[in-house]
Amino acid sequence: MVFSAKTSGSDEWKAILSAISTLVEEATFEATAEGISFRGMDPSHVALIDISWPNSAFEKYECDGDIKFGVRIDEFSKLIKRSDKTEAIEISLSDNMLLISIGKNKQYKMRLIESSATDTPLPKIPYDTRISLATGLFDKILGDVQVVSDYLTIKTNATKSEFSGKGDSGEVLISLQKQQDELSEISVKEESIGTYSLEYLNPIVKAVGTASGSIVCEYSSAKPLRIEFKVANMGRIHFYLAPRVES
Amino acid sequence: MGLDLKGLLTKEKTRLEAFSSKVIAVDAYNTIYQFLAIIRGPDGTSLSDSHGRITSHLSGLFYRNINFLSLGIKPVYVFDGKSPSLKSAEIARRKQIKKDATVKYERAVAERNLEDMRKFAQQTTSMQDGMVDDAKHLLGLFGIPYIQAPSEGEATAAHLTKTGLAYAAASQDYDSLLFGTKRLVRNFTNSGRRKIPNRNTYIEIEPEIIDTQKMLDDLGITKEQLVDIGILIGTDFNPDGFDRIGPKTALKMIKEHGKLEEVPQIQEELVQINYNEIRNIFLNPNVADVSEIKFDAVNYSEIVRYLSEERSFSKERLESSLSRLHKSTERRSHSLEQWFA
Repeated sequence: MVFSAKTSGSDEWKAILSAISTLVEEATFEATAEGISFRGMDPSHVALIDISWPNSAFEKYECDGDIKFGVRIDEFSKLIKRSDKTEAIEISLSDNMLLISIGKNKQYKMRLIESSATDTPLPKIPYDTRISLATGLFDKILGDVQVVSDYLTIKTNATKSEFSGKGDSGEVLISLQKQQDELSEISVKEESIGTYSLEYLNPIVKAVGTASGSIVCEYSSAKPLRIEFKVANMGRIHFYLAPRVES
Repeated sequence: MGLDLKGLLTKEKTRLEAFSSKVIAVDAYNTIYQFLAIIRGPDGTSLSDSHGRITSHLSGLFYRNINFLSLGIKPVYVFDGKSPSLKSAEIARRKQIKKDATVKYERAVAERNLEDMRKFAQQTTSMQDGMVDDAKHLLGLFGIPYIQAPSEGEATAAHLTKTGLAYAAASQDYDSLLFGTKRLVRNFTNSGRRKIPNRNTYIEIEPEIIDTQKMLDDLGITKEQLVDIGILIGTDFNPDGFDRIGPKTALKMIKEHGKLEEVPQIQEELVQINYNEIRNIFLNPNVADVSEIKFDAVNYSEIVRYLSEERSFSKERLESSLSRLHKSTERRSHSLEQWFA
């Protein structure tokens, strides 16, 4: 069995591992000829991450079978963090160990864990609303809402999106129009309103952060939200979040 | 005592959070009994109210259910009904243990031996009149449903998983596996350190789940054969089991010969027990016919009133725990499960 995957820098791994670490402590990656993928949910099954990292995004990629390998995310992260931004990372497998080569002359071996992966399905939802905006802007909105609320409500019609929150101390409303520096895309089948926990949204947006220039949010009223982070040289991260229980 | 299936089981460690938004059929007697045994002072005395009535079970149920509901878990408590007559030997055996423990407890009191007092007081634990009604009353105030089983509670709990009304049965005993539960959860509580009874050591307790079909596949046996293995080891209906047969030997015998009647070396013992009746108890159990499980809103003010005014709980502590529950139910998100089609 041959498997090795090389990226020209370390940002991709850093973004992916910090995204996964917001939900789980242990992760099972799957490698096939097509590329590397990961799918997992937090223990409460409120949020799900689905990562697809195609072979074309790697500097060099080789895999001649279907391989699963389990890692402890905090340990893997620690090792990847020992790399500079521009240092190439190459991973391969040998004897129940993950070999991680960093730059020209550093190699770690990390013990794999038994992968307990069960097949996680994806939520099946027709999305009524789709908006696109800069990741930095979305991060700022979450920060603005969090000072008064634990959750974010998004209401979208054909021309604008309203981001709001409500807490014991007060309320906030942020309104974005369809224009280049606000919402670069709005497509609405039906006016939609959904409420989602910042406890999950904040960490994932912070984690993927600067690695992703823009995001696409898709949702329907009282149904899960799907955020697509586009990461350069990597493919995509889908983040699914169940709506908050309305009291 | 319960069935000793240890060693044959594939358990998976899990976390309480994984049961969020799932209905879990909880073995009510097993749970209440544990509270009565464990929630005691250092000298073994139970919690009690101003009338001297024991309240350990209410305290346990109060905190445990706040925990469940905070995580979005939906417990449904299943109470035992009338035991099958075959259980009388086991019941008599348990009574004798309590009787012996009472004597030892009194001796420990006379000797002022605190450790023994606690140890033997625990062994005298028994359900008293009114406790079941107390428990049902408190569950009702929490909006938590309970089901009165016609016979063994674990049989009805298992049945709920078969009809899809519950995701798993929760009990410390393994009997519900023989009753055919789809999944069994043990240590259905928060992870943490627990003291081992009667010893001064602690172990890490964490929830574990057993998938019955997976277990049968791993062992390479049918559910009927699992019942036969149970009978060899000893069930509540033949507590002594067979002479010098443990889980490993029992498995080997049944796998080799198929069923009890075909195992040559046990035939002499086999004729002395009513094994067909025991099989029937497990395979065609008498269960409650439930078509719907409904959860109601928590009656916060009445919980505080009942437990503080009638059962001498501290009002302040009740209120702070309940406000924690209120907050977490307000903040909760749905589980994605309902959108997996």
